[in-house]
Amino acid sequence: MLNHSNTTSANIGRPITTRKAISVIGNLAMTTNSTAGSYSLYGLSLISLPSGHGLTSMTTNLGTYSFKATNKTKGITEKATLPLNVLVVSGDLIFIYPGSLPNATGAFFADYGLTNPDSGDELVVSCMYSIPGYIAPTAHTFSLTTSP
Amino acid sequence: MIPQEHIDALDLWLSQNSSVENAQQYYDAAIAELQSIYA
Repeated sequence: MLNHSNTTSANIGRPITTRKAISVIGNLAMTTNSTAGSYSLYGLSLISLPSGHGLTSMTTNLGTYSFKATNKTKGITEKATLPLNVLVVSGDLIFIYPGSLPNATGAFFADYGLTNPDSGDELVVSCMYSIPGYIAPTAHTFSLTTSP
Repeated sequence: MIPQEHIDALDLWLSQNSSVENAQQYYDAAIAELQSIYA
């Protein structure tokens, strides 16, 4: 069972007029999964960019995701920076994700340099992403409780 | 065939954004695009 909440903070950073805006559609969907006690962390976000963005599906290292993960149960706060990758582009709509996709290799906490949680740990994860040439999007904060 | 992890990712997004207007359309468009890529 996964308890999930999702909040979006105020826009961070001063907009620069020469950069284009990122429109976020919905919330960054994020969850954890356990494989033999090793937890993975992954998510997917849908954004819209102005026409002429030139992005294509399956682009890797387009930008960065900055994570701050707090394990409230263990009293640990850690940070990680993951590559921002593009899953699929459909017109001006772009699905992006941090690090690795669900059930793919490389998405475990340890792969991100984060401490592996135990079942039942309460996590609070904040993340921001950046794409060169675009105005910094909003920060997202998630609360997750790991399950077996 | 679309890799399962791609579908899982889109399913995750849809499940957590079902209340978003046109969410199903965005999902379907992404699946269609992936199908064209992996055809």
